[in-house]
Amino acid sequence: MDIADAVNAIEVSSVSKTFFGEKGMVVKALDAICLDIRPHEFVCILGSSGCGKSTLLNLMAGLISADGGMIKVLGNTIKKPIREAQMVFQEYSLLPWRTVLDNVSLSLELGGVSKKERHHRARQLLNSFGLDEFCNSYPHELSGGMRQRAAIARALSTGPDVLYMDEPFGALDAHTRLKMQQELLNYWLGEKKTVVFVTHSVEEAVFLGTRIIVLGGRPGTIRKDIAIELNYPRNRWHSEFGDYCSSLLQAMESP
Amino acid sequence: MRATDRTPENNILRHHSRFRHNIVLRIIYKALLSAIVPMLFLLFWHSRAIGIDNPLRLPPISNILDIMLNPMENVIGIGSIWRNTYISLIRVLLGYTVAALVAVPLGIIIGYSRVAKRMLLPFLSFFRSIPPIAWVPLVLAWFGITSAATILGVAITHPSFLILNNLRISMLAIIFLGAFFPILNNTIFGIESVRKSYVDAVRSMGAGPVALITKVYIPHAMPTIFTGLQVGLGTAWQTLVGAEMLPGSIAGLGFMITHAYQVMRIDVVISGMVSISIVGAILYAASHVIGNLCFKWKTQGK
Repeated sequence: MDIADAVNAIEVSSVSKTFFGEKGMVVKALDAICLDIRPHEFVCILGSSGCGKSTLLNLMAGLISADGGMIKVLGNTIKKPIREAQMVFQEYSLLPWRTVLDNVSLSLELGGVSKKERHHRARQLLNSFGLDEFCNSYPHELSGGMRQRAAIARALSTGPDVLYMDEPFGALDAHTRLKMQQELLNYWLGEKKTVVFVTHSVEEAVFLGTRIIVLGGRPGTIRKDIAIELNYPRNRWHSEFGDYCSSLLQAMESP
Repeated sequence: MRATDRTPENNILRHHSRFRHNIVLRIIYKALLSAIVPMLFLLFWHSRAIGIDNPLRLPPISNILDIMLNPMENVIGIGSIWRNTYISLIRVLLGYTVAALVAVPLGIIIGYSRVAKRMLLPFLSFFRSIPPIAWVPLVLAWFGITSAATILGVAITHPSFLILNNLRISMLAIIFLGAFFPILNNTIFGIESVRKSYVDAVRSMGAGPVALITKVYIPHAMPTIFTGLQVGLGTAWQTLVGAEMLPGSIAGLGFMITHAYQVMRIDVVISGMVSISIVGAILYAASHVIGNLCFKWKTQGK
């Protein structure tokens, strides 16, 4: 990825998105979004519900297509999902009829990797995520936190350079959520992948991100784009942490 | 067992139920509870049979038991109960299999593609409310008494002729129609109700339409499709009697019932009905066991 190192990992240039609902309903979700993300950045996209932050992530991931403008990820113009960028969803993304092992190796299965090889790699990943005992369990037998850990393992199985995360800890209880945030940070500090993390929690964004983009309004536009200059591990009770939170909260709430 | 059966509230209720300390007593209690109404029914039947004293209107239970307990014996010169059941089963399974082979793929296509749905569903819905029996005259006009033996050109002397000659195309067509719509409807419904988040998750891994259908849509819809196959088997079995009453029919439980009626053997009529019920129950129970084995993730999950 020498080329990608030199330029931006993700380029979003004047992208708009309109949804056409049934009965002729028209909703303009995003308007003329421009955004460059450098390699190894941990970008949090922050906004209240309905501001178009998930739409922006789905556009980057190639799950939906934009009305106009262009999105480039690692040099590829995005028309559909690419293998180098993988996604972690909020919940219900592990297939309930597959064991954890078969879920985690699904991405490799689609890539045509042999059963022995993909199971081997999935086992290694599950090991490093502390899920080795649950290889043959079904998703409903796991706790919410373990399910999300498995979902992250699955996203990493193909060795992507970019990781999209759509409120991955949103459905977890407060305690598990904090634990998972720390685990994710530890992982990112070790591997330094490019992460785009969608959340509506200001505190989560300031705890995790190197950079925070606030989306707001309807149609959604970029309200604020700031770097968080705090060292990891961050202290939630530090006054600077609080300053960042209050200024971001203001940006979110301003009409 | 469904997940809701295992909630603490239910456990409390169960502990307050009768005979909670003794499993054997509880099983006997439950069996007795289910047996009360059938017993009263049989008692009523028995007393009325004695009162009426006319087996042409209501034969005594012992007559039916006599026929049912000797299923290999030739009754009224049209073969044994066993043979007629066996021929009916082959017909149903054949017509039903063809219906499943057409309805499941068609349902998957209609459920997946909006274009296919627009093109096909209004047309198919036109036929939905026509009961299979209403097709009988038309089907007879088309296929007459053509059988599998005629189509395959099997000679009358060949040992397989007896079976193949009983597989009338018109009957298979009626059974097909009986099974087709329940299977189709459930398949469409199953495919359409696939959770979008699973589709998105697998799409984000780079799966194309074929992989999505085989890895997400079909496995997710399988329990619903299976329900359709179960219901379809039931309706196919019910439609059979009508199909076997078609002219030219010379075997099968449906034929046995109509023929026995014509020769005023009400005991044979009732025995035929009981046989239909028993086979139907066995088919249902078997499919239920298979369903529970195959779709554990569905009953235990969520």
